[in-house]
Amino acid sequence: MHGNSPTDSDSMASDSITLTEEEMARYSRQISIPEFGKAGQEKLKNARAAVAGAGGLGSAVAIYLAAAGIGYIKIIDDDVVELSNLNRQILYSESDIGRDKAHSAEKKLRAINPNIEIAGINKRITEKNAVGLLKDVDAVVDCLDNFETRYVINDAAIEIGIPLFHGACMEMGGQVMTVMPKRTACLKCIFPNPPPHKKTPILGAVAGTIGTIQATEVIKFFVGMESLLTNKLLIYDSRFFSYDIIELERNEKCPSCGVI
Amino acid sequence: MKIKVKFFSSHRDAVGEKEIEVEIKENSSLNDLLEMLSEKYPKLKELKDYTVLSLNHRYADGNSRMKEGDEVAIFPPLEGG
Ligand SMILES: [Zn+2]
Repeated sequence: MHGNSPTDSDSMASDSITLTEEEMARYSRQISIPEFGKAGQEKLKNARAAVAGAGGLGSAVAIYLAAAGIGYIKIIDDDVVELSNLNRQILYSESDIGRDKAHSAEKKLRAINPNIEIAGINKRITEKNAVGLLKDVDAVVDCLDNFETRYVINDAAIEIGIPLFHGACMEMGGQVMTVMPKRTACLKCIFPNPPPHKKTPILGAVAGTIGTIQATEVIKFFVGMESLLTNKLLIYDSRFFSYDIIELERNEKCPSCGVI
Repeated sequence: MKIKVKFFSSHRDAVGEKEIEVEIKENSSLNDLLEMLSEKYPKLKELKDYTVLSLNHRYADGNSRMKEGDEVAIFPPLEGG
């Protein structure tokens, strides 16, 4: 991995974080993963993540991060739940239709794991508010549905110096990459021009696959595991069950993270 | 020389194939390849502005030159979430 997890160098030493008996039991099946241990779980408890976008990707990401015990999850979305969301946005039930996603998500996640802090933020992310919304977290997960805002959080993550976990999907496939700002390729290095904006067809299970890969990346990052999708773009296509990995590098002239 | 080209997402839809073999002049660039493919598959032209390329599983720009047996991938950024 390129660099340490922020919890390694955090002023809050991980020995000040202790797990309760309930938490030891709740997380026992992941604490017993060799690279994880009690120390790994304590790092998750100390971790703060933002999920930008609470749609198909954001549902899977938020549910798995909450279940895994990430200590603070901020979930940001300004939409309300619609019937056509329910094929893929597994955070919501039919009774949530017409309610705002941020607070519906908050309620659902709290029911999954009452030990952690959840903040549902019913706001649209803009160039003006992005840094303010993200400066109190150690990682941001890009689960958005438009490139305009994806670029905004890419730039904010670079400015603050926190990793960005990018995921996107269309129809039966998707892509994932992880950005360590100013160390590995950012979204703008690789995708300088956005695709045209439209309502993308998406199979829910595929959004789930991409979202769970993102959530896995975030957990690996916080625990301090190696081999993240940094300088790598994973391209998944469920039509053929193919996974391709493209090796990336930073663009020195990148308008977002470049040095020239 | 012969090379292999893989297409993803909108680019695969534009071509109607997941993977093809292409016969192309020695020392051609990825831009030459794109131009040649756009003649054969005109829909690729519409995607040009946001077409991303890799050569032998490495991100590459259009000026990169290919050699016999190389593998090129052509794909877009994806928007949906
Ligand atoms: Zn960049």
